[in-house]
Amino acid sequence: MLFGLIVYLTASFFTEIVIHYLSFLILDLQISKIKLFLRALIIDLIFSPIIYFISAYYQIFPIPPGILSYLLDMFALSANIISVYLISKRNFYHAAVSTSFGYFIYYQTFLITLLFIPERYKLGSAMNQTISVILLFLFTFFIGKLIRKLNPSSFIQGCLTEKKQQIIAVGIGIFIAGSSHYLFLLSGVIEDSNQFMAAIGLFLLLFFSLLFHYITKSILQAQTEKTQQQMIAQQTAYIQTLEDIQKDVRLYRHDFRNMMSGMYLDVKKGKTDVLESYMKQMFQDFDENIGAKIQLANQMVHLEIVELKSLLITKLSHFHSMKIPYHLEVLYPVRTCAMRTSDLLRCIGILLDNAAEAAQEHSGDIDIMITAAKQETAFIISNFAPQSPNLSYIWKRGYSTKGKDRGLGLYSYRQITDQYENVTCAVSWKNQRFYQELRIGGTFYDTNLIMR
Amino acid sequence: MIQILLCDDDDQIRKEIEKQIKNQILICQYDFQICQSTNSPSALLNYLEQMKQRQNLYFLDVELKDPKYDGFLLGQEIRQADPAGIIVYITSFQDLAYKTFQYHVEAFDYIIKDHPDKLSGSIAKCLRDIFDRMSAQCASPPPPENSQFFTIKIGSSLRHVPLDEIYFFETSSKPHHIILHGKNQRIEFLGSLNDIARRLDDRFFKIHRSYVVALNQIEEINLKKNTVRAGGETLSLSRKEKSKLLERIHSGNTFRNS
Repeated sequence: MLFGLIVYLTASFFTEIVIHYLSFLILDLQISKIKLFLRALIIDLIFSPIIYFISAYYQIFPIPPGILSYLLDMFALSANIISVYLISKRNFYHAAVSTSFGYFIYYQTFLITLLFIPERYKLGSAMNQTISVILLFLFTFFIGKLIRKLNPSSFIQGCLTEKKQQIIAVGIGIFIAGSSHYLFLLSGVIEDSNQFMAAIGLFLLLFFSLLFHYITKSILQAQTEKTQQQMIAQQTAYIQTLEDIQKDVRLYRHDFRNMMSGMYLDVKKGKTDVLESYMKQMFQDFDENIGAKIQLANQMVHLEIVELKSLLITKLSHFHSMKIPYHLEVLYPVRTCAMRTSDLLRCIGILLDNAAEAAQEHSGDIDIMITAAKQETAFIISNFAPQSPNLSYIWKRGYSTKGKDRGLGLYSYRQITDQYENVTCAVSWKNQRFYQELRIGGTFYDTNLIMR
Repeated sequence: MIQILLCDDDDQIRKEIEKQIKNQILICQYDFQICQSTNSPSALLNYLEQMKQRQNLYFLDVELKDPKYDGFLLGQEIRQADPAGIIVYITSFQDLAYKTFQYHVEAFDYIIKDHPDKLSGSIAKCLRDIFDRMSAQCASPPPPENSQFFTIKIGSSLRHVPLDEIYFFETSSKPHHIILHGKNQRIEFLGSLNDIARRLDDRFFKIHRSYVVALNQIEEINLKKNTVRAGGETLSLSRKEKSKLLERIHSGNTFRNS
């Protein structure tokens, strides 16, 4: 009895390592081997004895053994979810989904290893467990490589943006994790033949891999289509701006010629006073009308990251319709950015939206400076602010001067920037202006730079 | 005698600016002198190299059309040769392009060259601000390295924060990064709290593995809850450091009574 328990504990220590390893891989979280082993050991020592005893004495319980074994697995799954969540300290749903998938993969792999076990599977048999564990490690090694290649983490995170989606995802995860049990129960066979169980494992693994592959592909396709359409819309807006400038230039050329001939006559007649005030007016008119547009286009041309240019055009035209004065300075070409473009767009979008709200509230202006020089890209977005906002809480979740359910923008902003070692933020308030600074070091985006 | 160097490739504007500066120097009796006024950046850099004197005042055109140096590059070269120098940019109102320079080169101010009648006013104000800043620096004896400022390296630029304006340092949610909490600013940068505690003197104290506090900014210490209040925020105080902190405060008398 004791021997059986020890064998089981040892084997399940290794399986805990595998489950945690897979979960962290899917979660895309780096964790030291020591921490991994320690964690697995703790979970093993706490939960495995319980599972062992209940499995060994299943006759005591009034529940049919198939359902009992399912419940035990769910119990083990919950223990693992909690363990992974505690280590990752991140979104619970993200951890739960990753652990469920990790558990699922482990379980099916385990079932496949049963193919290689000569005798009928017994809980406390040392031979069984040894073969099982060795093969498990071998298969997990290869599966691990595959998972790394697929990079499911960002996809999962993308799907978990809404609360509803999160709950559904976790539900699906837990359902999938226990899927082999449903097949057992349906087929009426209770862990009788090793080959049969291995076949089930293999089947489920293949089935869900294909399903997952298909789903991700269609979701990604839909997303790409959406972004492409957005891009087209924004680029049309950009072309429109350029055509407006062209139109203005045409009109101005006409007016300009008239003005010049008028001035020529004045000069001939010696009317220099009139001339002076006239030219002053011309300066102003030019600046206010076409001068500003040309200036803006000059700056825009230096933004060679297409998505960024599109985003700015959209935002600036919003500012224009909200009657918020703005100024853009991009003196040197900005070609690349050492940050995922989607993250960059989200961050800049958040900063610009915040600046717009503040500018509208205080009837102020917005100033944007983008510079790419000296191995870094920097954004400084500032707006008029008669008083300084409370900088202590500005990055904390839920802080907002604007009402109860606000304050998530800058928090998401911090969450995104925290993922990058090479990105830093700074805020300041000086001379009645509030500044938000985003600095991205490096010249191009490299997946190794992301920490999580 | 503070030396002034000018560079603008529009000769007319440059002569006008020279004239205005000389006027101001005369009117306000500043101890300034224009030692170089050129339309060539290379000439200015050569002159600067030979000149040896530093902590000068520079007026540079933002839109230099020199093939080798534009306004930005010239500013960078000058900043390297004269780290404590004061750089003022000359820009046109239409563009008002100077923030890039301010960010990379730590320019002090800018003047707008478009409207000649406004030029004298902006030059006057600019020189006055410079004079004020220089007097303030001379009032206290020239500070030894790192005594008045905390220097942060952010990427390839350096930022100097006056020590008096720092409330505390906190470890950021991003690994290996620290957040400086200062008067009206929060700056995140790469660093370690231990390094910072080492670099700073007795005016700062590490009260917790996540916080280094400026002693003269402590508003309140709550011994029951083990917290310290500074810069409007509540920071955790480690039990280990509690007694040391109290010792330091009583002995140094740096506790701010409020």
